[in-house]
Amino acid sequence: MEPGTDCLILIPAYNEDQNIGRVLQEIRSLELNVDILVINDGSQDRTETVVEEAGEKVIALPYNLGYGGALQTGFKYAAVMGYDYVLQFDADGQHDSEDILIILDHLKTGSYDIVIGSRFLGRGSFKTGLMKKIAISLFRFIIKVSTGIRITDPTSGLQGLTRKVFCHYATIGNFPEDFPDADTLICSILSGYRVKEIPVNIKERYSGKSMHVGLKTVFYLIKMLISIWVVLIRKKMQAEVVIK
Amino acid sequence: MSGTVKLIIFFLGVVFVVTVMYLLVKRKINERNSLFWLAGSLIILLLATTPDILEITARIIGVDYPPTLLFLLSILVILFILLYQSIQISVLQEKCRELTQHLAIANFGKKEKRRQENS
Repeated sequence: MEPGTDCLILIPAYNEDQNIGRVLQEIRSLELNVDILVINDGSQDRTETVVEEAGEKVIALPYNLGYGGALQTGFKYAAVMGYDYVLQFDADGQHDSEDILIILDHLKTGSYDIVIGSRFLGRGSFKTGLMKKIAISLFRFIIKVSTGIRITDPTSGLQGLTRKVFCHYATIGNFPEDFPDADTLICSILSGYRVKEIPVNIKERYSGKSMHVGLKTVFYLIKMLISIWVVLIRKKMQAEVVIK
Repeated sequence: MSGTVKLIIFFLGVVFVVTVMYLLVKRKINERNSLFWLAGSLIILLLATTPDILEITARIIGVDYPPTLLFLLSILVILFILLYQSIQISVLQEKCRELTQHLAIANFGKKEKRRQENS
């Protein structure tokens, strides 16, 4: 941990050697006093070498754990190292590094525990497929009904978290292995964490394919619905125990 | 049930018991998991030696054709074992993920320490 640094930028990366160099360069060009940690999620390409050549820290997982597993590794590291804030950032070049400043500003006010960068709140020109659009609309609706809070982009990979949130996520069983989504968000809101969404600029990927394509989206949608249902039941059971 | 069929079922039961015991000795299966399979093999042996049990049970429950009761019970037991295995796999996956993460962080710590010593 660099002296005076209280924030860790966490970048999970899987086969992103074409993009990660540029992403790191963009973040460093901001000249912020932050640490950067890349989690190499069992990549078969040169991701780890590219990050090391750029002079940044990289934790190498021995095999592919999935996006959630990689993120949780970073949360564990941040919890042990004593960081106050963690900012999740994608390795594919879709996120605008300047949004880091806005998210950090919001986190440091102390009014929010989770700050989400939303691609649907104005800035940028992000296009999504029909299936993904339906899935996101459905998740938005479920979040609104179950928590009363309007979240436009529950699948956003650009998020800022305070220490109490990422320490909670770092614990075994508190974070999904594949992809944190509406289920994690609903659980966090119902646990009392204060969530804020801000507009961010999401660009097209530098190169490569997105994680959610084709029939996988349908399976993902069904899995997520089950996951949300489980979260709601668990919370209801916890509430009943507290009342008793 | 003819004598030959009885003999074949009995033989299969014995093979099953011996296989489970062999796996136990070779440490390919642990005692807790072997219990289900040993119980299954003993039921096969019991039904082979005293098939009347099945007929009497079927009559009490109201099943007209006793072998269907055997199929029903077999499927239920297999489903139960499968569910138990799924639970075990889920628990193991979670533990494996946790270990992998700790290992990766520990390796990173060692690498950083070496790097600092060299610089």
